[in-house]
Amino acid sequence: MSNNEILEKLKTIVTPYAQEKSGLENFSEQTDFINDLKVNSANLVDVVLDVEDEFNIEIDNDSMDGMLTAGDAREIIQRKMAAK
Amino acid sequence: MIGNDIVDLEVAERESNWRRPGYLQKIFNVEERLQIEAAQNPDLLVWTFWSMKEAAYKAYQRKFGLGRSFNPSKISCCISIKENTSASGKVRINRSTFITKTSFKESYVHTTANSSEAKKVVSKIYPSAENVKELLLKEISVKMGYPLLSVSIKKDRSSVPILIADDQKINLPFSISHHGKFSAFSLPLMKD
Repeated sequence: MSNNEILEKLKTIVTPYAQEKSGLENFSEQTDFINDLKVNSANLVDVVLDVEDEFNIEIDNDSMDGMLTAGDAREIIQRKMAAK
Repeated sequence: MIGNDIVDLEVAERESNWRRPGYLQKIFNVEERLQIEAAQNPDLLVWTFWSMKEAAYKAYQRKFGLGRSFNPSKISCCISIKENTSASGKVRINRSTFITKTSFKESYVHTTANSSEAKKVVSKIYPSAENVKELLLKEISVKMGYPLLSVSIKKDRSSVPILIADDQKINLPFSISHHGKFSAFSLPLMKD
């Protein structure tokens, strides 16, 4: 799966949790879930669970630790998919 | 060091489905999950633990000047005294321990975390999404004798908010939180 395909799917996943919808317009690797999209931290857990379901991977709590931007998430997804 | 966190229970109920499979495993350890399972009011305990962890994490970040990270399952918390409208407890993050005080109202849970037992913390909770930053600055300007226009809040390199007065950093720990219609801040107790 290409970087862009993963980012597209990520965008779909975070859309319902983004309180700052304007942050979705320029969704990119640099998009910060909390600062740019105002996803609250309780919903960040939902994002992680949705990512697990969508990509059929498991994100351990240590990896979740570093998932602050869409780029971080994309990297973790690729790493976990490669390890399957 | 100080941290605080507020949870609007109505918004939490609407926006966060902690009963979703896998959800609790991401944020709570085994011991905490067992307590939630056995609780009479599991919703209240979930958000109490959550606010304890968030408040302590904010204090921890401020203490060590750390950047952001997100791994609540690594933070452990326990309640030592539980009363009808309040609870005291402890939160551990790596080697640091924080003392927490939680207050419950019908519509919110608010926790302050403090690294020192000796220093008292005062919190103000606003039942509407008021401009809590302005209110905090006003309080600081009155208590510390700075003109209101000379004080402001900035974020430092680790995105921890700091106070600036007359272009200089003031070493006063503080913490702001928002959720739903509520906002709150915590400060060390200062004499009038």
